[in-house]
Amino acid sequence: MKRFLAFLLCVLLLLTLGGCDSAQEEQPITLTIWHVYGGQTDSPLNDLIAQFNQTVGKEHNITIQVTSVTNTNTIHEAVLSAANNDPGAAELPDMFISYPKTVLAMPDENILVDYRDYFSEQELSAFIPAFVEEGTIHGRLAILPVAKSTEILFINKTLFDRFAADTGATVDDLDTWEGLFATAARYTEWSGGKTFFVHDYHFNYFQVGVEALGESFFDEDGIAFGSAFAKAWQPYAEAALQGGVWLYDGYATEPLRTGDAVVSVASSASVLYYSDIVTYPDNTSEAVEYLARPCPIFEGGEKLVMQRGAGICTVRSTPEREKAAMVFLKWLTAPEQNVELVTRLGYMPVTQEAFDTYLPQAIERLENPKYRELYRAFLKTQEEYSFYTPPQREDYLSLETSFEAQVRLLLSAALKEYDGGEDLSAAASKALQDLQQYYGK
Amino acid sequence: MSRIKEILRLTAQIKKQSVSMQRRLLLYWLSMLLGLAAVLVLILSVAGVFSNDAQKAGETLQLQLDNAQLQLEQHMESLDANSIALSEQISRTLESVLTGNGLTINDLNDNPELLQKLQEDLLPRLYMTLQLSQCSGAYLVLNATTNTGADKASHSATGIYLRYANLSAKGTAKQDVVFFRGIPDIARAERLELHNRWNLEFDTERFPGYDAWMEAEVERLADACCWTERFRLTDTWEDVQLLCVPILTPDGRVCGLCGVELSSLYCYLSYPELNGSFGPMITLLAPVQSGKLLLDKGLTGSVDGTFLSDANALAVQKGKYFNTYFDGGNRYIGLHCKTSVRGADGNELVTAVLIPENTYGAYRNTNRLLLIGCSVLLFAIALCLSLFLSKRFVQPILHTIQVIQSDEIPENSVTGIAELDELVQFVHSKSNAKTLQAANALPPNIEELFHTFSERAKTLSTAERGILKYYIDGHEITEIPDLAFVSIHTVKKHNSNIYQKLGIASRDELMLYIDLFRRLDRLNELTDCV
Repeated sequence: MKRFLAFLLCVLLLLTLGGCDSAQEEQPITLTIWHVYGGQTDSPLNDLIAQFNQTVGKEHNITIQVTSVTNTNTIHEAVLSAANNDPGAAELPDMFISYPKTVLAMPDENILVDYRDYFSEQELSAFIPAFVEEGTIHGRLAILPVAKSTEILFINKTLFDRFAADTGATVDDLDTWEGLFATAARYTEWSGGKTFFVHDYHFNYFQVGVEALGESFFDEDGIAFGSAFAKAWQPYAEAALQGGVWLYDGYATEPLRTGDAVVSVASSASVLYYSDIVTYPDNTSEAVEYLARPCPIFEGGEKLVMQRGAGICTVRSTPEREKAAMVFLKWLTAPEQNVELVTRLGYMPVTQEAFDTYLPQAIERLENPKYRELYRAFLKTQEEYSFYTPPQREDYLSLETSFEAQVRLLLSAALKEYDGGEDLSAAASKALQDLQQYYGK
Repeated sequence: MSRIKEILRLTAQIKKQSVSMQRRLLLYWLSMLLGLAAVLVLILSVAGVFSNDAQKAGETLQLQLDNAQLQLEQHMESLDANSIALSEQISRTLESVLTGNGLTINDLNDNPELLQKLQEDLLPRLYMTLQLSQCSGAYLVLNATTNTGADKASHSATGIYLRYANLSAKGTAKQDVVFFRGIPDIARAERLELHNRWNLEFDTERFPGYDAWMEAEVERLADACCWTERFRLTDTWEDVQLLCVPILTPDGRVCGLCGVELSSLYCYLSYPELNGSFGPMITLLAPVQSGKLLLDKGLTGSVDGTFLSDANALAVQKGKYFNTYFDGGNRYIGLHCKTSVRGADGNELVTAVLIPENTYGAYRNTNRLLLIGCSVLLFAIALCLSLFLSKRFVQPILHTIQVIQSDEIPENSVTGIAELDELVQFVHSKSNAKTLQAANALPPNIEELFHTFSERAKTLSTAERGILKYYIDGHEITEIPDLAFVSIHTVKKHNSNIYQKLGIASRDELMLYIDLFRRLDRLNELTDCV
């Protein structure tokens, strides 16, 4: 009887092992991501994701699927719609790119993974501490830094040189805000009413400007319209009333692509979106060159510049999916991959090792003059400027949104009203009063 | 043959061997239970409970293929209808703008003001088509350019191309639309963001089949509309297919194209994989060439849970219940069928549904393991049951045998089995008789006396034994001469010898011994000697 049972067990074991062969083969975990690195262009992050899927991802049976490449504003709205279960809202992806303002505006931050659960202290210590701090919301590391940027002054050199040749303007005039707005007025006059300057975020201009002038931009109620604000407002508004500042919605790269503006202050990452060819309304095109310089400062003000660059949030799901996301993120933030990503996008890496060891070599290898120019300005900024990080206020997003809209609307309305005859300074001051009135100040 | 003979010989030997009752009973029980299980399995098989996995997979695939086919064709038909309506609307707008001003389509060239006016008029209609259609973008292109003197004028055409900025947000109130092609002032007036790779006009060299369309003769729009192959939108990360519907001038000539865009991402999001027992089932629409499904020229739904890459071509191997598809690295099972969707250059497009072969294999193996597991369990249960029953049945028998084998049989032993109880009773009574007999035994000295007597009887001669026999039979001495044909004198002599050998003194003493032997039922001890 014992022999028979032993035989039976052997047969069963063989059958079981034979049957398990395919069943044990793991199925891939597909993780979705919404990101901003590349917008609608050919995205460098997509290339890296394809590389990950073919290598490390394949080993671990992980596939990353990009389901949206857009901008942080669009992701912000989509994430909040999904998090609030708005009608028809898409499901949240497994990972998305976000600024702290988005996380702060979410109804429940706990739907996001705390990276401290998956990254050891040693792993986190490799990151630049300020970046980790920026991603820490209410004590939880909800935003993993992936790439950081700052604001840079971009100049369409081809158009500027043409203007400079006629007027004697120099690029050095653009080192200060006062000089830049004065040049804007001259350009508008010279070009017959064309815009000179576009800023990605009016809100950032005032926020950093006021702080650089030694005052606090915010107060308990919202925006503190102090004397520094007025000082920042005046040249800006005057240039806008003369038509020198772009007041339409959208990113700074748009008017530079159509030749409707010459100079912009935008994220260093916008370098990807500046087209080397400007297309004019008559369908003629012109190849152009770009210059990049550190962000202008106020005369007598501190050299302060906004630190930008969102991070990646991971949505809580199953432990397997969360672990799979961490495999991807650890790979992406490893110095080698991280530097490859950031130097193709115009960002700075997020770990000290990447900064010290890999970045200098990567910069040397850059072939595109636009990127070489950018990193020259980037390094100069890092050397000479202090970085400003926006405060984590619950009302930050609503203030930013309303301020952007109001400034553009008020200055656009003032621009229409201003016929050039009346006192420019008074018209600018009136627009400021309207703005303060809007905020009840 | 010799082996079989050997086995038969061994079997015969085994049969001759004494096998325990319990083992024999165990085999009977086991055979009966397994026989019953086999009959049950047979009935369930006939009833279709254990249907063929491959057949089941084939049926599921066919069902999903029918659904996908219906869904895709309805989707494409609605896009056709919306695009045809758009084309007709554009033709009417063109007619009113051009004919009203006494112009022809050629007069749009080098006329930026008129082009802007036209685009302003057409933008709302295009926007509406985009919103009404299940698509990722909508476009219209007219065979005219802003500046015929521009370098690229020969392959540049005016038009508008709108795309959704974030397809994940499609269906929500926050659907941002970006302006991919067209006059930027119109976009700004409508507060539409320019696409990161915006351009003023279409590059017709990169528009699949554009020149052929402009030469085409079209009678009915519905017969003319078709899809381009999938291509990469210049400088973007997205692959798209465009539905092309010609725009006709009042005299019926093609003066442009319009339609909608389906991007690969849109299809990924719109046709999610279905997770069933066989694994993730994916849907795709692709042209077929040389027996291969060209995924790189078609559109694929979500491929989550598979390793399918839409950059590959799938070789097809026909099967009984389903086909097998091979992309060079991975294998899939699935089915495909022709659709009514028209591809470029009359290419045949098929709808296909696929399942990774490994997940299907895993399902099949799981079922197999389950079946094996159940069979083993059934066998184990049958074995245990047989053991239990045979043991339970044999136990009283063994007990009874033990009882019988023992010296003392209890008087009232009840096993619960009538036959055994009867057997015990029988053995008990026999045992009692023996005991009783043992109880009637003579005292040793008397027994010695009898024993000596019977031993002495054995020393008698034949003649003397004959005379003794006559006495045992109850004859008198006077009767013996006649019976034995001897004289009385001889009889007396024999009597004398008998008395001497038996150690007795008289005939009375002899008759007393004979009487005692008869009473003790031991007369045979004397008669055996006679």
